[in-house]
Amino acid sequence: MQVTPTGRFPIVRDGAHPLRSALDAFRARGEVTAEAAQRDEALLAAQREAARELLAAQEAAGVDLPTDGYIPLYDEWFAWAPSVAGVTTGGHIRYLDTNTYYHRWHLSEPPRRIGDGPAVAAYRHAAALTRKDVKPCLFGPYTLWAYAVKEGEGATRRAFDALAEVVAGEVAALAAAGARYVQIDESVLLRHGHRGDFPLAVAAVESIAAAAPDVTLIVHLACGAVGDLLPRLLEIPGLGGLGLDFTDAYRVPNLAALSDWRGDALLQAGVTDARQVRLEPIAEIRQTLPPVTDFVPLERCLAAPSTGLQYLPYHIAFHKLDNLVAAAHSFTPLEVEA
Amino acid sequence: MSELPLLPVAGIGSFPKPGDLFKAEMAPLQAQDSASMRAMREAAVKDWLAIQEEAGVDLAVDGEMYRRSMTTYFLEGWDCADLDPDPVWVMDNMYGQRSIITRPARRLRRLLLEWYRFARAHTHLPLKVTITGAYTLRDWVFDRYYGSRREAVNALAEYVREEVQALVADGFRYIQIDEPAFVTRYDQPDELDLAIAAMRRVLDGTPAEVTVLTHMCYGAFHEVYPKMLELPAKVFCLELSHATPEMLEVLRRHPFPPDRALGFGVVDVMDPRVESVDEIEGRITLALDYLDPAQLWINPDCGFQTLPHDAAVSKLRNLVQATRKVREAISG
Repeated sequence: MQVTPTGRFPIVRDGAHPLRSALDAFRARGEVTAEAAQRDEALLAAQREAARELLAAQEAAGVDLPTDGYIPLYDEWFAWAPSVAGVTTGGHIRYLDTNTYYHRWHLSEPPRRIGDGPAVAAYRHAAALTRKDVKPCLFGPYTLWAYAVKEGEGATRRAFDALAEVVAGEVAALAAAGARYVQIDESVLLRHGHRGDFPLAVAAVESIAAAAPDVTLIVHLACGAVGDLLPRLLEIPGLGGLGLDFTDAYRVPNLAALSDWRGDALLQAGVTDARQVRLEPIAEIRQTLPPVTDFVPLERCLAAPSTGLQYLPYHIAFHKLDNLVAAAHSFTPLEVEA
Repeated sequence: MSELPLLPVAGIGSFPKPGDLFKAEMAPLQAQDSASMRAMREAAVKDWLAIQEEAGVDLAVDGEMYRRSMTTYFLEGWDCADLDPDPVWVMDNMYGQRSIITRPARRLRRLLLEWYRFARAHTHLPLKVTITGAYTLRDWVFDRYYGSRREAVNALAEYVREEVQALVADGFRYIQIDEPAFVTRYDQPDELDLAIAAMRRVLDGTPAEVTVLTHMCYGAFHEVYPKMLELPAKVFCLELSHATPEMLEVLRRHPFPPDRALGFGVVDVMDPRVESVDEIEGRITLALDYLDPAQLWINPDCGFQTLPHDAAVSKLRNLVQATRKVREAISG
């Protein structure tokens, strides 16, 4: 079974990392905006070097489908906003229950993509460093919408559709740059308060998939139980894959939901807990795989951490990744039969 | 609350640490010179008390100069957790080390009482004690010991309760239980009920003359209001300098109950830009569209620790000045 990570990585060991110093130096230069960051050669070089390190670390671990290792200025929302007209940032909000803070998007009109977001350059940089496919990871339109401050025309269905077009444009740009796999994270959709917006999210995924038909579009849903949404997700035209969380409290309900698995989509199976520090032994991870492959053919499964490893200390995150790779690569169909 | 004026002003809890203290704290605990650290921390507490007096706040906080973080300080102090050396990303360019709960408290000592006695001896202002709530203590760390979140939260509630009881017995009359994690699992009723039960346990038996406050920030308040009113607090100090239309709408639909107060966050602690007095006055005036003046307390969005020293001082001063202008306007 092949392995892919599901988002950002931790970077700091022993309190230090050159990217942190570069960010401090950038801030000391005075103009602390995402636009200025995109012109700041010293900061860009530090970001590229951090990405190179993370890509190398993934390759050393034996990851099959690495991410681009992109570490944005502050957070993905802050860094992306200058590429989207009609979006400003202001105020922070915690993302899910992760105790990480993001700069909220403010929508007062339908947003419009006016250029490539930083993910496109990050993809090009990473793709030039490896012969493997590289998987960029973006936040999906529903997540951006759910966390945005919306007012006036920015609170309308037209604004949501425009936001979906923004993400679709970004995915299309990634495809044009050569990406064959793109992950969009819509975990918030599994929160009970948001499940009612499922038709909105489905329409958005459909439009993104249509904008980049050659891309395997993986919708990642971490930290939640998919339940009865699964069959409807699998019916989305153009859906390339689905990421689900099989750790902690979500293992049992998401395994149960797999009995409804249909079609050819990939399953990005989160079988290593990226929210807890306990190191799952290789044998334990291997034991989690047969219940997954009972329902999804092995060749359509990717083993993954449950969410981005950024929430873990560096040494634990990469130890988990090592164990995940060892477990997945040594997993054979025989074990399925056994 | 009678000793406080209309629209009482107070910080949320933390203030920026002096550079030398901040640097010294980065060393591993066993490598730190405890006497020298103590002296630096005492000096910093005194400095911030003096700054608050000079600025004109009505209720002082001690600035939390002796806490490395709002979680690790307690869990390390109670000796129920280890600190992982690799920090994880929190926001912007800020990273923090996380505790890992590995055992029940080995020495359940009262961590705060001595510090608040020290603070009391160095200010004429009434003091607001701030302590992290049991739910947030569990939510923001890793747990390798307890079998469930509920078990961990309930155990931590007993430790927090010990701290609170000691402080109340010593005469402290304003106790703020910080529960920012309450806002993050808003869609999970069991989790909200767990947090509510934990705070009730912490405060069970607290005499009526104690004013209980709670603080939450950076979450979707409109999703937990009015449910949050089940928390046994009199004053809810929220981050509202960027009050969302959703929150204002929900306040319109469910007016804040007359026996409770809302601490309206009116300065942004994440942005070093110092808001003008007029700008802050506008935010207070906005709050008064939704609240009776007797229900309104004034605070920053959160602790000031994220800001440079001078920005924190300037914001505090402007916050007080703006509040005074509004008070004068109200009193005619």
